[in-house]
Amino acid sequence: MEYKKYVIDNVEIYTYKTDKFKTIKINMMFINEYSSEDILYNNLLNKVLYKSTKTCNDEIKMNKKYMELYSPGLRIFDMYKNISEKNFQYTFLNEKYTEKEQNKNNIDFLFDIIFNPNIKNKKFEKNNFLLCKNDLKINYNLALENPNFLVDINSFSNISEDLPSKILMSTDIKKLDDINEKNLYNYYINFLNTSSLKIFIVGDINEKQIINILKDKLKNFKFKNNDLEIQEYTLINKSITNEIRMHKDFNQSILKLIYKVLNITDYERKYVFPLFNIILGGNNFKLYKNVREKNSLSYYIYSRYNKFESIFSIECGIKKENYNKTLSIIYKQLKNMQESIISNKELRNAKELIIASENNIYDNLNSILSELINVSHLKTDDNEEYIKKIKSVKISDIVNLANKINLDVLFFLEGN
Amino acid sequence: MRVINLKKVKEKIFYEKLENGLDVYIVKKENFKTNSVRFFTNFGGLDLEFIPNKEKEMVKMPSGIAHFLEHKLFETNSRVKVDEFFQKNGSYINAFTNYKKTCYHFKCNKNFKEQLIYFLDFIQTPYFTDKNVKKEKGIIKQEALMTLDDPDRKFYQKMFENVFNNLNYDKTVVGSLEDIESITKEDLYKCYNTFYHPKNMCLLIVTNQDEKEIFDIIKDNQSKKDYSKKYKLIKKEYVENDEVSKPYEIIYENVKENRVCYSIKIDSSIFNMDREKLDFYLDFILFSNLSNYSKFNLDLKKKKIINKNITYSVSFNKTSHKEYIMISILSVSDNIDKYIKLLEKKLNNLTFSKEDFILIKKSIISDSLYMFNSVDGIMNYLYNDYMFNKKISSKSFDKAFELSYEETIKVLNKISNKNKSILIMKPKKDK
Repeated sequence: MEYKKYVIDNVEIYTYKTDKFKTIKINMMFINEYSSEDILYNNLLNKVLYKSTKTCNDEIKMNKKYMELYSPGLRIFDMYKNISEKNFQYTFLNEKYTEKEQNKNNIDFLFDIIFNPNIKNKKFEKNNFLLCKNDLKINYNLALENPNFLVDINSFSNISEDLPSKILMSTDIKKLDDINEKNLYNYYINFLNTSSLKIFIVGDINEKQIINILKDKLKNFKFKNNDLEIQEYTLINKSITNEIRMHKDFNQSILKLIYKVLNITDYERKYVFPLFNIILGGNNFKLYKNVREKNSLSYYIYSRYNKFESIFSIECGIKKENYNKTLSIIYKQLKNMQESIISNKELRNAKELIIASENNIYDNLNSILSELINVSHLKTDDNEEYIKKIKSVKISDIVNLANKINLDVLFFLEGN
Repeated sequence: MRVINLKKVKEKIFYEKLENGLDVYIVKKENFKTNSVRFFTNFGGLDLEFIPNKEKEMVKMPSGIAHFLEHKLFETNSRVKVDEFFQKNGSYINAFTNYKKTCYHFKCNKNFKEQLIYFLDFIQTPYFTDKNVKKEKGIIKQEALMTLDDPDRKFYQKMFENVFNNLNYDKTVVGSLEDIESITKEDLYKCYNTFYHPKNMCLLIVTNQDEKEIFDIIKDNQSKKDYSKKYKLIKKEYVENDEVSKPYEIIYENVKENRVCYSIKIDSSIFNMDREKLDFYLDFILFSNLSNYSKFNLDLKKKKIINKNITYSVSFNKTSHKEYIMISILSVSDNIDKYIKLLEKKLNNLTFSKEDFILIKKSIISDSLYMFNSVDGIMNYLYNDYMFNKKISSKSFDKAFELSYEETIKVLNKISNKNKSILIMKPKKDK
């Protein structure tokens, strides 16, 4: 991927130019250390910043502003690794398709959202703050009505290691009551003072124009130099499986298994783990074929992996009477992988799926942005190099990884 | 081949009706690697009573039959499984069924022509056996149980059921456990032979390949298949009352928050207007009066009368003699009675300003530009336009640019909440 890098004071700016799209995408990433207490503050801060600014001080004015700017889209979200990354991901129509100055107007609005929030007397404005807090509580309650979310909370919070996903799922929503307009404001100020900033821009951009706009916008701020390094988790300790059963008034039961991969190597994490995951739990691969197609035990079964944390999970919805049968098929399929019962066809098809998805990257502005972030910030291979490495993975590599797994959590949500 | 020009976004759609009656639309996007295809039939969860092709008597099928058929069409007589064929090309294939359609779709970035032919062939070559039908029942029953644990899906279905008397909305798309169990391979063939005739289907393609070549491949493929020219689809025509089916109901589910839906049923002929424009105008009025753009919504949230922003949906429902518009207004509330009272007051005093009109129209035009920004966006545009109009034309696209403030006011003045249905979902513990 051929991108450009600019540095303005300590802010790193990465740009990738493509004329395939009518939109431009900007991601402002604030990088910081974090503790588990920050999660609720971050969630609430994202909402408060999203809903109003000093000049558009309620939801209605914000909506009007969005419409005036030809309906840009904004997502504010946090990614937790060993560090936290707060992302403001903003998409807007290129001024070539709207009106002159719209690129600048949109960037102005994004900066307003981040740096000019709705504050009165060193506190977030009360009305907007309370609405956001209530909204967060209600959203959490609504999410709890979803059996899959309930399973995620109760399984991930019981992982034996202190991983970001465990911390995230263990968050106690009741602590939201301790956050007020004043301490959230203090948190926000501290967040700005301690963050380093990276900006990623993709689309049909005039780089000179965009950099000049950003230079002007950033001149009043001082950001830290980024000295935080992203570190992946290498898990060493074998754990005894934590078996948990929960009964709820649902029609379907849900089985979830969370595995650690012990002593994973860098090569395995990057290239073998994704293929292992597809062969095990991809659509029409081992679990799907044996649990769903051959035995009609479930409608959905899949595995998901987290290469950063060296864990993967398997989830399926079943009848409670089929618990033992399903579990034994899952174990059997994992054993097959440990004993090298993996066909060349399975490996080839899994590689094809990854290669096809890599080849599609440049068809979508979201995936181009992700690629830019991966290559420049996470220092991953670019997609050509990645495809080359994926092609070289052998069955024996998958078998080696399969022999490093350790069942950490076995969770069963038992329905009626 | 006819060319449909969408001048405002500088895009062209190529169209041809094939000899067997199949509608084919192609959009060419040369600089994209992705090819995307949707092939769908006008057969969905509501289509339960019809005269099977080449028969004379009306039959009634078990609920969930269209969805069951969608699952089973992935079965072939060949040793190569459908999923495996696409997988070896790194392609993505799937299907879905809703109340009105069954749609098969795939996306790929290589060997497009070969995969397109295979795709058409497997959908047009059913292979149902007693054994493979039995096997599917366990899988679909699990899907049905999963949907039963989704309170919002249940609420959505109930919303329609309480507005319409006779349109089969009391049945789910997936079907009841008993009905799924009762489905046979004979039922599936009967439905397949009736609804999967090319005259009842449509093929949408967004591709980087030459459109003429793709049309030729499709025509060649279709010409080898034998479809009767005398095909006529006869579905049971339901007479629908002007009144809603149930004016008020409280249901109790596994939820933590109360949902409220206020639905209005209106005979669309009272507006005497093109339905696409009408759809836009209703959206304008509801958006400015009820959504998070409105003072009404913000005031209710501040007073804690509602806990979530109000959302709404508008649907057009054809019956044998009339078309009914259903407007559904949804929110989450702990103060339901007060909310309903204030909502009714608001519905009786709807307003709409010129300033709102200019802003909302601007956002509708930007939406169309966003839509033509990706292969998925273009495919969604084609699909939605066909779903709504049963054809794709430049007219429907241009209509967004021709809307007027005066017409919006005319529509506003005719909206009446006289014929309403209120549905409330509460936690089971409140029963």
